Amino acid sequence: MTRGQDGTVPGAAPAATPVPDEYVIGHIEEALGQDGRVGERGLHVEVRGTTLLVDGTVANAARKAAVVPVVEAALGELDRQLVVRDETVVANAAPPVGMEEVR
Amino acid sequence: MIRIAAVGDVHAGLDSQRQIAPGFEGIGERADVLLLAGDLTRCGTPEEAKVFADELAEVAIPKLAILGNHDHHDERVDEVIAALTEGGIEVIDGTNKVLEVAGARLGVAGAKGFGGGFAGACGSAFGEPEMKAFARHTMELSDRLEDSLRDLDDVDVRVALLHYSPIPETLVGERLEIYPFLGSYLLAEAVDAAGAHLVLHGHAHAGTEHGVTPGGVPVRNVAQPVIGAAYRVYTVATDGSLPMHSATVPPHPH
Repeated sequence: MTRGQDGTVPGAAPAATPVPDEYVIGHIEEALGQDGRVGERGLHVEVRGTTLLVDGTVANAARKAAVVPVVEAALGELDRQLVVRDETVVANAAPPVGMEEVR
Repeated sequence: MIRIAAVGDVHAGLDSQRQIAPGFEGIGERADVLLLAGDLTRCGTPEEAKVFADELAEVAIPKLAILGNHDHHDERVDEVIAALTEGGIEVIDGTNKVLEVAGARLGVAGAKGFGGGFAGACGSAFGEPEMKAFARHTMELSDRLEDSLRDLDDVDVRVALLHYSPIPETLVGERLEIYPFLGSYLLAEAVDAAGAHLVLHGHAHAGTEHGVTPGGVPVRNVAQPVIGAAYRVYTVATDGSLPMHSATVPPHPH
């Protein structure tokens, strides 16, 4: 392996470089899907400046309450510090109003 | 007229006790049958399936279901089906069922379906074994769906109950890049070849409720986040006529 004068490998990211936003989004989406406290695969994750935004629909209030802790734990593993903003909504599961005639 | 209640993607977990049942109170006054479009559980455990079935214990109309990808996640499909069956929910994945309801014969063909994509952006059974397995899974399920629908030759109303989408129109709202993981045109082709009055599916939480197959069969995405209610009710006339172009598509060439 060829190293530069400062001991780094050419092309390798310096150790202090934060995990890029693209990878953060991928890992957070995976965590939200895999962690049984949330378990939702369809949530949308976005990084805007210093804020990480999660939106989409979750099945109940307990899963919504778990969104921020799950994201913060995953961010901790990635060594990224972002303000987590939970914009998810709980699915409306009330009886329906009316019906549709299908032709 | 048959009144069909439908919902998918309820994603019951151990945290769902006493949360799902209230939405289904009085369903017997609104509908003749309840069709469940998969993803009934969060992670596919039999314990979650039991919670779901228990929550629907007071629903006295017939309950038919197919499984979704979440219901497969824990790889205990037989136990999930057993828990649902024990709780009074009949699973018709890969087969069909005829019910006498509202003085008419309702035929429902069930298929989980799978991905692959839509016109101009499809995967195919080419290359690595993993890619072939992916594409062939959809092809096999679509063929079986067509057979299950054709089998329903003595009913007044014929419905296809899926998890994955047969058309892109009911995915609108989802990111275009993931359409191939949300459904396949092969499912629509199967429906159009055999003919049906209605297709129900779930899976696409950010999608759109209304769509139609190229053959003219109404499609409804009943994923709970899409319909924003415990379930939706669709009424279908029982005069036996199929939608305009349905069943005029030649049998699938597989």
